[in-house]
Amino acid sequence: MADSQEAQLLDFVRRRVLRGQRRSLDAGTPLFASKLIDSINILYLIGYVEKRLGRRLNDKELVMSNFRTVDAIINAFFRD
Amino acid sequence: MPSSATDRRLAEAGFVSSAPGAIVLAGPAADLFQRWSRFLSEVLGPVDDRLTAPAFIDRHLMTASRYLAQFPKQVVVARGNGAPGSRYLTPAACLHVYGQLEGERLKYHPYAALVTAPCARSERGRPMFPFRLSAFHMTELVVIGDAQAIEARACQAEEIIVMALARLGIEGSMRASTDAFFLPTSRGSKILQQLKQLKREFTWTGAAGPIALGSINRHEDFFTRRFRITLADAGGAQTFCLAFGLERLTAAGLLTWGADTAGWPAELRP
Repeated sequence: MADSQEAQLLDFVRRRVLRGQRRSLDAGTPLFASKLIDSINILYLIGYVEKRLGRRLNDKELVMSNFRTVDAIINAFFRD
Repeated sequence: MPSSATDRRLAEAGFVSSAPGAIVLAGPAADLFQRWSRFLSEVLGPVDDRLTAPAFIDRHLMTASRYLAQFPKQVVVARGNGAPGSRYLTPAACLHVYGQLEGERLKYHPYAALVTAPCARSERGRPMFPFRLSAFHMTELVVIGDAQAIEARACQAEEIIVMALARLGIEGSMRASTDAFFLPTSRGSKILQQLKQLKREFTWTGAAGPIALGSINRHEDFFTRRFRITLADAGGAQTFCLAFGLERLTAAGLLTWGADTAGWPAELRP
């Protein structure tokens, strides 16, 4: 289940965030350190998570440790 | 006329509302204001430069810093000499430091400056005595360096200020803030600011708390790009500032220790 979520999220990040840029991306790629995420992309990313969860994220969930990598997002929100 | 017990205590100490959002300090309040200023200067030092900046600020600094574009409603226009809108009242002391260093290549880093300025912000008719004023004095530590040096110095500054204030009996902690400061106010920018913890506030939990008495703002390369400030021997320059409103500290001190100087901590006693 989580593996499938990871593949889907990676696909989403490649399509909506990278938008055809030739940059390597895997579940451990630091999204902020590599400057992939700007003020627009972060909204796409949060929108994706909120849509999948069916609810809005609260302030306590909006912390860097939950969004550092695709792996971190999966662990924080999609792993049982 | 003081309208609450807090207002009365402050008024008795010489911390008096003179107009909406403005105060006059006299007696113990004026004394404590000066002592806070000296205390910050000692605690936040040593620094490379100490600046006293003017109330006026040129349009160029306001546009280069994007302050005019992002916070137009906070800006107070200075009338008088020059074309209308050519100068303003300083909204943040640190802007003068970036102006002084515009276009410079710093020979060493981290560079640190301590700057104090009389500041003014339009609070859209919502100044809140005694903590949210339209006219106040701001002291800021401004540091410029590479990303690593900035993070190290910012963490150190946070620790120092929490410990120093705790020693005075001003208890509180550093907390992430989502108030807009230099970034645009879009939801995306606010969330990025929150995730990266770019703005953190020292939140006082004392007599009138919780009140933010100071804030540390990590600007990344926002100001160095706009003011073309570079480092001679390192990668991109970044900045952070640690800012305090002196009137706000004065009010917090008077509410904590009272007007009698005998009750003030040794570090601030005459």
